[in-house]
Amino acid sequence: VVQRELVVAAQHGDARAFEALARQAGDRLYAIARLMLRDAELAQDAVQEALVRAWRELPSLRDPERFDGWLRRLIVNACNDQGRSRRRYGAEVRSIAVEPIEQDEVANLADRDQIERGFSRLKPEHRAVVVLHFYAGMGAGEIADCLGIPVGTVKSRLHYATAALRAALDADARPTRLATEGQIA
Amino acid sequence: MTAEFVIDERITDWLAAEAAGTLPETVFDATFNRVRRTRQRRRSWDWNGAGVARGRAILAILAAASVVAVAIIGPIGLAGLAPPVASPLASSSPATPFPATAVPSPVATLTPQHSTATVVSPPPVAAPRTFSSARLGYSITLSAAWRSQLNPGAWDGVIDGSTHNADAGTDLYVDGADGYLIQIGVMHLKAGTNLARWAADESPRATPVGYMKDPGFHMLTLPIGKALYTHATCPELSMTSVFLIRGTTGVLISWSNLLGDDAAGRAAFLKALGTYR
Repeated sequence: VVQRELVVAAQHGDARAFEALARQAGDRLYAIARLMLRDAELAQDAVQEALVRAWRELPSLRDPERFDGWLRRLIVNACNDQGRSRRRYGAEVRSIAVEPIEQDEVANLADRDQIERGFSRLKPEHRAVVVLHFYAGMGAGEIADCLGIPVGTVKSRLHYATAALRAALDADARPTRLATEGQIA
Repeated sequence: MTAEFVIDERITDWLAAEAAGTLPETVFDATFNRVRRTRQRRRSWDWNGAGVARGRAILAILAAASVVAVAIIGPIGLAGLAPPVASPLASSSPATPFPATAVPSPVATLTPQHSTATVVSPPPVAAPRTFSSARLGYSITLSAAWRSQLNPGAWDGVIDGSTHNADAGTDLYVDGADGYLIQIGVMHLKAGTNLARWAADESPRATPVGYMKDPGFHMLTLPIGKALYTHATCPELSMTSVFLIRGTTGVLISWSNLLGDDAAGRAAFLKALGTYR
């Protein structure tokens, strides 16, 4: 079934149509939420809140064709709400492989570690534009539309955030002291 | 390939790797459970297709009504300025088998003061309704839109009787206009039970788990005595619970709005409690 038809049906109260839409979008929303919140449980809560909000507010969506963008906006807002209420940004504890690893993988892990650290230091609003731009592949105009902020603000946030991440990656050139037995992000 | 491009590519790769994962089925289940309990927010004027169609229909009705009003009030106004017998409407009315004096037509009885634009009288205001329960021993007066749950079709939701200890019974009322609910539950207490302690013990069961974020209690003075109330809210539900003790029974009166918070509706409920006897 075409997504537009599902959206229109859901707008008129068809819960099954909405469930189909939610299943289509669930993993994408979860990915954005996990990237923004750095916490799987908070991300799951955010997805749930965003979807329930989507169901409740769906009749007010003017153009069914813009459902995806509208949903992305809801998930970003839900992530911001989660972040504000829990104040747990960057609290995720992650483990890295314990097995001995090859030299290339050491470099790769160091690379990821640098981005991880740089990303964790970003403010939530900067994370949002990074995720929507680099992960969701959205342009500045789309992001502005999605977040309800001026294009200029999107560009400045993107500029700041990528500069910070590049700076973090520049540290890659310096010698790293990566522990191979595991570490906490 | 510039250094910036390479770095951007590494950021993109990292995000893609970090984003990999599937939303657990339990989250879908919990979400759909909430969706089934959540009403969609319908606006009187929304800009989707249905809204526009509805809006156009309303405009069409208003336009038709104004045409009718002009058609009726206009000639009446003219008729009011002229002697009744000379009214063109009166002279052009079809012949009737009954004498004109036996069943006077509305036009013939109109006087000049009735022919102004104020001929439309305001709609009658529906009177508040008093609901009494001999079983639970109370009465309360609510606005005309409220219905008892006993009315067939008035309530299509699910009543969870396990949410509190209303061992004497529970009544449910539904506001047909705004979708609010009022639940009145009565339970037997041990003699001498303290209101504050009972309310504190009962409130976690009376309020949906997880929605209550330590809202605290407020004192309420009702005609029948002191009561305590607490208010909990989340995006899709708002609930105010009032606790009072009458003799050896505890009364829990809860007002809820399935569309989120609504201060005006809550205030109307607290005002209506002044009629609780």
